[in-house]
Amino acid sequence: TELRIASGTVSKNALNGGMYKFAELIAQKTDGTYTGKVFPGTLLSFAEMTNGVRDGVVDVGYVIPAYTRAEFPQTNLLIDMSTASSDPVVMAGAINDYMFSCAPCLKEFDALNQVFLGFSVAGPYYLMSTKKIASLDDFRGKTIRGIGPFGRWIEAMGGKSVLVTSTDVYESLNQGQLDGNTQGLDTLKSMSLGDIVDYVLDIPIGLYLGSALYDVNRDVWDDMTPEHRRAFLAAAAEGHAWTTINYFAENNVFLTHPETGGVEIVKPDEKLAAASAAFREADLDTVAKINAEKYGITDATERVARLRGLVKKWEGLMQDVDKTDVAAVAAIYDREIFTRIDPSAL
Amino acid sequence: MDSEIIGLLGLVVLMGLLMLRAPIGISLIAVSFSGIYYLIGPRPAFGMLASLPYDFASKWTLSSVPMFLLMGFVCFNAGLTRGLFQTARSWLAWLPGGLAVASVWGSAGFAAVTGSSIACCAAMGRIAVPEMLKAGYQPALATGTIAAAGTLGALIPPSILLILFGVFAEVPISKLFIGGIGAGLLTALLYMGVIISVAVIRPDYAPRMRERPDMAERMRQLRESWPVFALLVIVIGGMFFGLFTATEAGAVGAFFAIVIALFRRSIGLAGLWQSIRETIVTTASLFLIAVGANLLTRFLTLSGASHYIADAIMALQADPLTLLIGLSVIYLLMGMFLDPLGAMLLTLPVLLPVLDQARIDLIWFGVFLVKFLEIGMITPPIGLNVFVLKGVLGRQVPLTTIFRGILWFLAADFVVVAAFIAFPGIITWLPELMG
Amino acid sequence: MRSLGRILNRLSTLSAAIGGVAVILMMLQIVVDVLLKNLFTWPVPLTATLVTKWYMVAAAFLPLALTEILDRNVAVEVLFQHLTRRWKRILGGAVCLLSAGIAGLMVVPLWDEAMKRMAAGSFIVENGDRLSVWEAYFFLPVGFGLFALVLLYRTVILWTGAESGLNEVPIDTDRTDDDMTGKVHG
Ligand code: NA
Ligand code: NA
Repeated sequence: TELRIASGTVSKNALNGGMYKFAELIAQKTDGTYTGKVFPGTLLSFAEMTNGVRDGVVDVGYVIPAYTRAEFPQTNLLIDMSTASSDPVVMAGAINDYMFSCAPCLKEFDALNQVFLGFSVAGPYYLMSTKKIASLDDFRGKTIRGIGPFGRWIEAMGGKSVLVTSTDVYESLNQGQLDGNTQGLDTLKSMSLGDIVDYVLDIPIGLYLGSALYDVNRDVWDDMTPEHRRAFLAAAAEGHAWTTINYFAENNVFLTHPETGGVEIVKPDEKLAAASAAFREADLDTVAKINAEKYGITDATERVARLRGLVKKWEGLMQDVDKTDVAAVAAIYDREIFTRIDPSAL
Repeated sequence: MDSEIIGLLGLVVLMGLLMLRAPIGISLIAVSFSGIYYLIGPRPAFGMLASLPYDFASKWTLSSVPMFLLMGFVCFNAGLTRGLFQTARSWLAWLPGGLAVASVWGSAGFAAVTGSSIACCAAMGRIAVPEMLKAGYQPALATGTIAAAGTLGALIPPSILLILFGVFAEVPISKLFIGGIGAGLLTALLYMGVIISVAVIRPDYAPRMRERPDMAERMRQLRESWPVFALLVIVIGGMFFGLFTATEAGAVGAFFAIVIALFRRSIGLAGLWQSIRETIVTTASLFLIAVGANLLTRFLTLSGASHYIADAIMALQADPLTLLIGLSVIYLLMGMFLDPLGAMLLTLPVLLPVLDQARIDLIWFGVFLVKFLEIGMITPPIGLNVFVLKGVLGRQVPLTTIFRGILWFLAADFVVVAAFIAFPGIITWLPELMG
Repeated sequence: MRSLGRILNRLSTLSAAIGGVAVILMMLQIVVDVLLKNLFTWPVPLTATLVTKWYMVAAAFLPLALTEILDRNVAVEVLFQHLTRRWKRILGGAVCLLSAGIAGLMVVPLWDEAMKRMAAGSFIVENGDRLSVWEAYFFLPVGFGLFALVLLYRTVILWTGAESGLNEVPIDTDRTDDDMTGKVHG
């Protein structure tokens, strides 16, 4: 069976690459019973993806639950915890560990006629700016784009955080309405931001946790044999390892070779580094508070504590592992999470 | 049946529906829905109908479409368009074919406050064509001038086609806008050349004007037209100097157009409602087509037909020049039958990867594409500008006469397109200055 | 029939007028936002969400029925213009019926989607501010529904020749005033 696999952009980054990787992996792990044809942004936009998987427009879709917070309140609480770690490989382990043991989270996907097969983790996000920002004073009077926790970080550093749609980021930076943007460094190339911004502040702000690359249509899943479901789970484990590691590596190139992105790396002064660390520590409590007050999640505090614990656990699990080795990382994701899932219960 | 065949069959049915005078948007939706239903079943087909319209319309960048439309309609209803023509006339009437030349530059001026060539054509058509006919101009020349000059509306910024290109190709709209300036001015200059040549060779086609307004009169006219120049400075200047983005420029322009019109007492409540009504009606009909075209591209993607075409182009391994000449022929043919929005939305998903591979600059290509789409607006058998003009003029001038008048300007357009390819700097020089 | 046509005209105009209000609000809010951003780096909260999720949806779909009454949906006239009046009515009516079918077909999934969004209570969070958006999903089935009704009514009028009351732009006579810039100031 050839499955329709879709993402919402044509961008050539590792997140989109992860979709092609998945097509390759399922073919390999099901001995060609299932193959995939990837539609990168040509069939559905991200905003339509949840419904697209629900209705079977595509069989596997890259879903971003943050787009529809009302449908995914529990899942979004976890996605909010960007600052729980700055290591994407650890964080992908921790959040998927949590997600697959969080019945109310999985139920949100089920209600939309789809099966959640894990998150890839992207980042960290950095501050890219047109003027040099190295201290807390430099933030004063600066207008910077940031979503959710990244916006809170900007405000905490003394800047002004604004929301600009991604199509307008280039123009707003170019015209000076924006002084900076917080996002993955791949945007220096993929969105041509490197043409305009000249500086990257060397502080990993947080990770983007909420990219559900491989949401499978419920009917497709139900038609599969238990062995094939098992194969899909293994493919997901490896796909998330591949995507998370490759996205990190792609971004890291701009830190080690900033000239390829047309930027200079700026070291923060001590006060700024300390303020950012303090923010990262405190933000999880803010997340708990917001989710309890605004989105009515009564046990938000316990959930935040639980994720903190899982981050510790995964730091331990990954301690002696080469975190650039896809096979090694995938093996641990598989062993600790994906093989422990009962495919018939998903 | 092969799914690619289904895709091509769908296009045939679409052409049939269009010939029956079915609305373009509805025809696109009908064919795409049936095709998707056949290919992947009822639930996905209904699912797309449920999600796509909302998600398509709720785009920040597209918000400038109704805003620029509003600005243009307010300018028209406030009489600014007529003033612009009178000013151009007082300065240019002495030239051979002076009235027609004035119409071209009047259109160029109006183009700076309106986003669509149809609006430009309709507005100038109702003002300038009667004047030219009264002055004894050959009807073909008079109407051809206006239909062709109307195309400046989409080349000179603001331009709804350039906005949509920017959205789909993910390139900065401000750069596209600035790139359109050079293209629009070159087009206007060559149109002027065409008119003067015709008027010199056949003086009976364009009788010389006897009236010669003096400098005082010309300056008075120019001063009268200040609102248009003020709007031009506000919109283009504000974008260039970073006060707002191209998306926001529409709202600012519409706002100032209303403020200026109210201040000059040249628009009343009736005129304002008229402008708003035209804005929403045009917006809704545009979006219906865009939603349909979007569905069609998905149907063609699902059927594999668009993939098939893209592969065929890639396989040619053509050098950029051959590729561009090939594309020119394709767009010329499509432009004869399709509306510009449909032609653009149909081809972009197929072409973007090809352009990427051939390393063709997307800013340059956007303007080049819009030029071709605009040529399609004036070529038979389906030329929207010509139809609109015919609608404005009624039975005075037959359709064939207008198309005959357009032939001269098509010649100029081919020179313009060749110049774009030979000297890409005409388009890219200004955007590169922006940095 | 006439009174039915008049009612449809009123409803279509009202629906379009709501779209018009959305256009004006959109313009004002963006202008104030630009002004405050430039003067005080103090943007108007929720501008992006209100513009995209509310104003744009209203402006794009609520006026659909009025576009039909004014016969502004772009169509190809090449063959049609050569038909006799009788055939224009027959063919025009058939095309209206087909269009009514398509527009009506869309109402079902659009309504369904709106009900789902209402049940979920869809909202958007922009810079920490929360705005409910599910209500705007109802603009679509309303817009397409009225559009379908107007098309259906036109079919009946074209085929029976009854007096309309819809005040629509006729398609079976030569037109002299159907341009994009209106007729009041012609
Ligand atoms: Na224009
Ligand atoms: Na044409």
